[in-house]
Amino acid sequence: MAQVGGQLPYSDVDHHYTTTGLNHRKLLMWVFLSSDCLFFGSLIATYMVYRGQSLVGPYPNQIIDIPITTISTFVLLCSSFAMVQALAATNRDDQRGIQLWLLATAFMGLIFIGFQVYEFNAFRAEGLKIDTNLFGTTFFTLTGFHGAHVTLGIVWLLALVIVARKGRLGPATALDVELAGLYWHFVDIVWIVIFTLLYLIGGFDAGPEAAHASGALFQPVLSALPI
Amino acid sequence: MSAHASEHHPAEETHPAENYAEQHEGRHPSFKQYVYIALILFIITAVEFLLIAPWWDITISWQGSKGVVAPLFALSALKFAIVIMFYMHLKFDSRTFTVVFISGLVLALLVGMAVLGLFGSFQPTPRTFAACNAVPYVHHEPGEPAGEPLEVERGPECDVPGPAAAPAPAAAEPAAGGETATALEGAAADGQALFVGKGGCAACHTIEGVPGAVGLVGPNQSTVGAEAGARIPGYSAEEYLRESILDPDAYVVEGYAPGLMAPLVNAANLTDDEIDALVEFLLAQQ
Repeated sequence: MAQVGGQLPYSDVDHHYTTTGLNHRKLLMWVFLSSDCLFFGSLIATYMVYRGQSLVGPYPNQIIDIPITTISTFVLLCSSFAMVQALAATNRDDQRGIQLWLLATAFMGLIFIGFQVYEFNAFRAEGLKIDTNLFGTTFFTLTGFHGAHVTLGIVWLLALVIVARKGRLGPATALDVELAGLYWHFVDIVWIVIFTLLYLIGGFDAGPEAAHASGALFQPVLSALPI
Repeated sequence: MSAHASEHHPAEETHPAENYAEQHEGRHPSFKQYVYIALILFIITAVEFLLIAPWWDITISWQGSKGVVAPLFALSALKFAIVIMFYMHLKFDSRTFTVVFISGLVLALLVGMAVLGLFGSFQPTPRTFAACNAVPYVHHEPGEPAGEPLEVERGPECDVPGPAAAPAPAAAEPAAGGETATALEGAAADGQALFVGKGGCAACHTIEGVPGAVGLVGPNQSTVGAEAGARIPGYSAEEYLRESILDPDAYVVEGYAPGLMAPLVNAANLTDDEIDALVEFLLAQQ
């Protein structure tokens, strides 16, 4: 058993046999993230289906603020870095480091959410609500669900901070931090996709007049696909 | 790259603190490597930002930004890969995790493509289709009857079948929506095909109800069949139309420029039969 256990990740924590030789909790996390790909994939596909089909404004090019969102994207990337440091601190049994890096991650997540609250309010002030047009409906649904994921991650991280304050996080329980980290990084990569599609590319989408003049709205995206 | 995956990473063995981590995590990158990864991610994001920067203030900006779509796709895919490989340490973990995650990712991509295909997003002009078929939304309280849908103003663009359909306008009519010309028979139907297709007439002349015939350079010919007989005294409608095609500058409708049409007619290289068909078609435009 010691031989087999030696090859298992976190074998010092979980002394159970698994058919895959992999930790159940970690495998379950990956299965969940895999299924979450489908969740966000569907929302993103819905956005792309209705992209550029809004018949009343505001249109993306009138209200999407790329510089502001680039800053919040940077913040989220930084938080991912803090998250890997939190896990590294856990593996070194650096109690102060664990708490600091976890707090830093949660704090940067809060800043990201703050940017999103600001953005949603700014859009509402410009006249874009969830029932204004197809852009509003698909945009708020997609980014709203992403924001909900980030919020859940913040709650998770803060809960870990409380556990860490009691001194219960360390090399033996590093998996607790690692799983939160996997979730957090996943939320980050979803944002990488959203930022590119909705902001960097879709942020320039204009109203119907411009679309009529030029025809193929989808051509640039299509030509970029490997099909 | 595979050197990082090895159990004995020379850079890590020199640091006692990281040696401790290595015993537990084994194959995770060091602090320094994490900093490099973060820097790479920052740089990619900054490059993405700079790529689209030139198009901020241009009115039809998204047309200008088209060219950077492919690089943006590539860069964000690269960021995605870096995060899952290093931050989520798929590169160093069991292959099973990678298989599980990539399966979901690929399935999500396929579902997305299927949805886009099903909803016609790969068609060249999705918004024109939406604009021409949309029913305006009228807000009403719950319980209140919805009432009649509003009439939509459908512009000439609703009759445009799209660039690919130009050579075969008849086939594209049902998809284009809106009104279509009354069914023509024989020579006149051929004439319509020539008008929009080989003849190239539609580029400059509008005929209401004929898909693709929305040009504004020459006179509107929606009722030319009725007007042609009165243009030149002594000419029948047919004679006038024939002469107007063969020698466009013999009579130029007031307000339109001479000299433009003749070279185009020559270039179209129409046969006698085709000219007959065109005349027949134009006579039917009453």
